[in-house]
Amino acid sequence: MLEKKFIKIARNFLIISTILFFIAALLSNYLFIGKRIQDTKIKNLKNNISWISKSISPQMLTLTLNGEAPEYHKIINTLIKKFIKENELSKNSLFIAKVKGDKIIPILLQDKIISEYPPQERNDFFIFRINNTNYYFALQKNLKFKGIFKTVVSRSLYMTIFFIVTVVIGFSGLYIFERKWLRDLSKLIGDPQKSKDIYTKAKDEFLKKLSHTFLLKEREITKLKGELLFIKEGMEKFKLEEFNEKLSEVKKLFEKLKIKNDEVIFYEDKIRSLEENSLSALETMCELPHEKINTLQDSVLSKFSDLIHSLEEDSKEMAPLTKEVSKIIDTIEEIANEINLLSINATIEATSEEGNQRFSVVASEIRRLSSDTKKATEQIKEIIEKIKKSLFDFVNFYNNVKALCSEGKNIIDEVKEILYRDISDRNNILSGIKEAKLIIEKIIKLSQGIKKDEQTIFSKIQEVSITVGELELSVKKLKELSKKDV
Amino acid sequence: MVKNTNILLLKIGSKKIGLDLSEVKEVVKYQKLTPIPKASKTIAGILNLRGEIFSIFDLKYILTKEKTIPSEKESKFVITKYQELKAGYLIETLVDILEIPSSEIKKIKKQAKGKECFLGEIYYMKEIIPVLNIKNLLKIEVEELEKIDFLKFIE
Repeated sequence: MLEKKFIKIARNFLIISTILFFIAALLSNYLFIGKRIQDTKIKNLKNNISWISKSISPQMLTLTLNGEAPEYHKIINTLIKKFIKENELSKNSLFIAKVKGDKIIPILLQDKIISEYPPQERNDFFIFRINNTNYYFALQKNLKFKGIFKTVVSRSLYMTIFFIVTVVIGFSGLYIFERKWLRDLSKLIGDPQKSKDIYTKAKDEFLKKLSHTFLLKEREITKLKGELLFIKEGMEKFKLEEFNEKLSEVKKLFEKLKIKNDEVIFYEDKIRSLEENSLSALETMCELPHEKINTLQDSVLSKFSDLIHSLEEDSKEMAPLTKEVSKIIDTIEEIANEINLLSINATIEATSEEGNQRFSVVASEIRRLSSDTKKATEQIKEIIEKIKKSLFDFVNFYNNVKALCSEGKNIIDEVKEILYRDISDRNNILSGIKEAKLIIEKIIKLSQGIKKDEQTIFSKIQEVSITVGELELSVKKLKELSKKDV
Repeated sequence: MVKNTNILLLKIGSKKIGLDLSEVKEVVKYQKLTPIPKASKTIAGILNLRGEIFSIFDLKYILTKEKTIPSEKESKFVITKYQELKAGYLIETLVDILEIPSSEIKKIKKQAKGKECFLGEIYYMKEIIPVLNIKNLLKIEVEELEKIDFLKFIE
């Protein structure tokens, strides 16, 4: 029984799968292999075109024209038919065209005129001449070959046959080696009692699992109940009287705070008096050294500055004087130089052939004089430079003294600053005291506010007691509910 | 009687050089020269001295091939005259006039081109000082002056 069923299923599966596989094979072959075949065929065609160009040679045409009536169409037709057969081309894939100037006019061929086709590649066409007119022999743009579909179908058929064989082998193997397992399955399907038993077993297991989860949930609920009872007991223990007692204690504390406030006010007055005393003391501390230092500084600085000023003026007066002296010396030097030149020229004149020998002695004397004056002027120059240098040193020294004075001034200023800083510290203390006063005043205000709020607090407490009573009632209700649940 | 020759001592850079005073006509203070365009570098310019025009040579450039940088205080012109050739020399500094017996001028031993431009050399203050022969120096063409290397005789 089972075997029959199995065979039926296998047969159906085989039929459907083979049909689907065949369609898929056809599509894939056409897409991937058909194109490749077409490309190779086009290649062969382009090679064969050279053959046809040879066969339709103008000589042959002239021969035929001479022999018979000029029916070259027929000759071309026969040649082209041969070409199409050999290359397995479809009809209407070739045409011949006449050339008139720039235009190409298609001529009747193979029953139909197809379309204008300006050939683009050199391999796709060739030209031949008949009676001084050019003719195109060209291939159609979209070439169609006859044999492609045949090959595609045959290929896909082979593939489907292979597929059927493999599937049949698989099924038969399953049937031979796994017959036992198949028989068991068939028995199960055949015996309704056994299948029922299996169903009931599964049901029982599912129910057991359900009950177990139910029990777990129940335990959790009981735990929650216990917690509720604990809360209830806590509520019962809580009593209003204790609450009231605590409130009265709070009141007492408020009163104590009031007393403390009064004390704070008392101390504030004391702080004020202390502050004034400290202020006066600090002022007396500061004023004494400040004045003394000022007077000292003024006297010392004025004396120093007067001295330096006078010295500076003297040096300023000296500078133009020295300049004038150096100018005079320069002129003296120039004169000496000129005398020297004169003496040289004089010697030249004396030593010349027409010159007086005695005059040369005078010339040499003059030269000596000029050199002496030169030496003297050089000495004077040196002395003046020395004087200049010493003056410069002097000015430098007094500048140093000045710098020292300014340093002293700075030190005095620093001392002053320290003193002023003390005063600022004192001011800081004062401001601190004032802040403390403000805080105390705020505390007093707060305590007064608390006094006002006392009555409102009492009313609130009563409200609280009423809410507690309500809570007790709700607890009782909760108890009853819990009992019912249990 | 011993024959004496007067020699004018000059300074060129750090080296001292002598001139025979009998060949010198005059020593003139420095004044501005009028430059000659496209002239050779040995000529410093032209000088108008009391109506007479002298071409001034740069003595430092002739001897060391370095141009003099003239200063109004120090530099001077030495004017010379030989037959009809009038010329002056720009000089950096003038040192002194020496009176030496003529026998003390010794001939230069070095053999090189331009030897005829030197009278000889004298020994003075522990230095060997070459003495120029201005007559022969004037005879040489300007273009050749640039080519002759006088440094051999000075150093």
